[in-house]
Amino acid sequence: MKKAVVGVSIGGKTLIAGKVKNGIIEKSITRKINNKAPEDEIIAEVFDIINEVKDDEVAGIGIGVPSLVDVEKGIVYRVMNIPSWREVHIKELLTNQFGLEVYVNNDANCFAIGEMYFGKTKGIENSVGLILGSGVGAGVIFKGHLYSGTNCGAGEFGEIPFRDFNYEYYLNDAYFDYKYGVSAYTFLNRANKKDKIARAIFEHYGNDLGNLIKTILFTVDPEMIVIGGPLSKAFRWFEKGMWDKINTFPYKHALGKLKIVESGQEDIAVLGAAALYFDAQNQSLKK
Amino acid sequence: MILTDNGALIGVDLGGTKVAAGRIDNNEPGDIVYKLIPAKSDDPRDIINVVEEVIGQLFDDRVSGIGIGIPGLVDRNEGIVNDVQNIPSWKEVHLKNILENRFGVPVYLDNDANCFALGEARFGRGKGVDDFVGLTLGTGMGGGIIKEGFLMSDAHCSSGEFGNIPYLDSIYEDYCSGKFFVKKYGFKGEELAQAASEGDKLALKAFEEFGTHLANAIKTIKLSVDPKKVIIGGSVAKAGKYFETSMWKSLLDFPFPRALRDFDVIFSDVKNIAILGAASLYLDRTSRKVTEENIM
Repeated sequence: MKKAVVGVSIGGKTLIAGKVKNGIIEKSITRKINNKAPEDEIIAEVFDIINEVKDDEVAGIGIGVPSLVDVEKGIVYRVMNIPSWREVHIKELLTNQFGLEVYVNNDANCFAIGEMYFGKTKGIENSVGLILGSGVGAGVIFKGHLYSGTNCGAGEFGEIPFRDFNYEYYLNDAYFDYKYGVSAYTFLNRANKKDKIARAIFEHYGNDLGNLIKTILFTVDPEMIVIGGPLSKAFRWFEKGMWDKINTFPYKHALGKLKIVESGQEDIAVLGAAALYFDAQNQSLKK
Repeated sequence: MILTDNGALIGVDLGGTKVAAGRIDNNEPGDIVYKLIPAKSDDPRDIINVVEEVIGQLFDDRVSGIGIGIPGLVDRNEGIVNDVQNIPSWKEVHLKNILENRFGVPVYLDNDANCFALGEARFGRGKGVDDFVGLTLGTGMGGGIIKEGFLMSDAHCSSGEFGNIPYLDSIYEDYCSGKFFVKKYGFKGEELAQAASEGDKLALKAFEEFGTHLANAIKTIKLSVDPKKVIIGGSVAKAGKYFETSMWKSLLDFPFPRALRDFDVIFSDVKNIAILGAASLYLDRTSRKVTEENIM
């Protein structure tokens, strides 16, 4: 890991790029973008921000995008909150521009692999990274590498049927506004100030999340689950409700081994994007 | 990718009423023997004796390994049976140790659904499919995940236990196994299948409804492990033609339509697949070791 990598996180409103070397972000730029701008304009912004953090040590680029991704071809489809990005061949564009190795994946997969290289799941063979925020995203690490499934559709736990709809509906932050008329983050502040209603609401949220985690245990059964995203800041308030549900797991004798932790890593989006490069290098070493 | 073994293997299928075993010689399935068990006995040794007897009938010095499929909770790493359907006396039976001491060859245990998936991978419709899910729909619902030709390794021996996943007011097993027909319609699945074959409207409706629930289970499988195929076995699979259409109809609203393009749900048609799968446990574990050592 002596080489440096540029990690880029493309959000709906901001671009973040960082030069990552030896697990440290040496230089980072965060820039607001006009998410309504045409495709080419936003691509030019991505070129610019990479140029600003890149130097001669940089061997590759990793990009995390909130969208469906064809990982092999490096194409992103229907990017969340960027309406003009319907089908962008981002890998090809960046490879031609910079002449470096480029890897693209969705933001949840970046989070999961980033946690393995630089965060809480270091040294763990099988883990799941779960992002709770404006959506519910997840990435699965299997035998120390990103596991994408046949159509890169593995780990889409948010879309799994739950109650009358799916998990994402009940676990994304907008559900708090819809159900209680108050934002999740207002409730978070209130819970931190000992507000009983806010704490009850997060305990209930934890119950629903516990059902999702049981689903993860009965499908891919990881050793550790790491939770990130803006709602993970409420971890200590939903932790109890979550375990109450999980403890109804019939394989209880084995549950002692399961660890569920809060990410707490602020820069994980950029680190995770950079980790795509390391994952790819180690995958090809294996072969 | 599955390596072969030129020796002989024995596979054992432990059911609630009988123990069945079969032998595989040079990858060819051979004789099947079985014996009824005193399931109600409160001495765990009674049933261990039957298992040993059945294995003994097939055992000789060419046998290089024994695999056992168990309908219940198994610690596959330690080889301990924690809990078995219909055999109340078996709590924490160290079956691997017991049988290895008796026969002197490696013994591997796994749950019966994992054995089904493995059997399909080597001898059934999963041959040549590296990534698939085997689903057993019978009195219960179980599953096994085959990844890169091997049983998926996991942390708590609970991967692929799709039947236990929360669904509606309970879990998938209550809607996607024989339990659904008994609870909702008051008939056994076999009875309804018979009625459906005679064109009975209520029976046909029951299967149609079953198909929509099963579609949700398959969506959950697609969204979590994203396999190329789902292979369905167990007694309910025989009624596949009555619920297949409604299942596919419900799958059409899958959130990622592209993912359905190369996907298929097929029904198992191999006899004694559970025994063949149990015998394959030996190859799964030993050849997995070989490939993992090569990687390092």
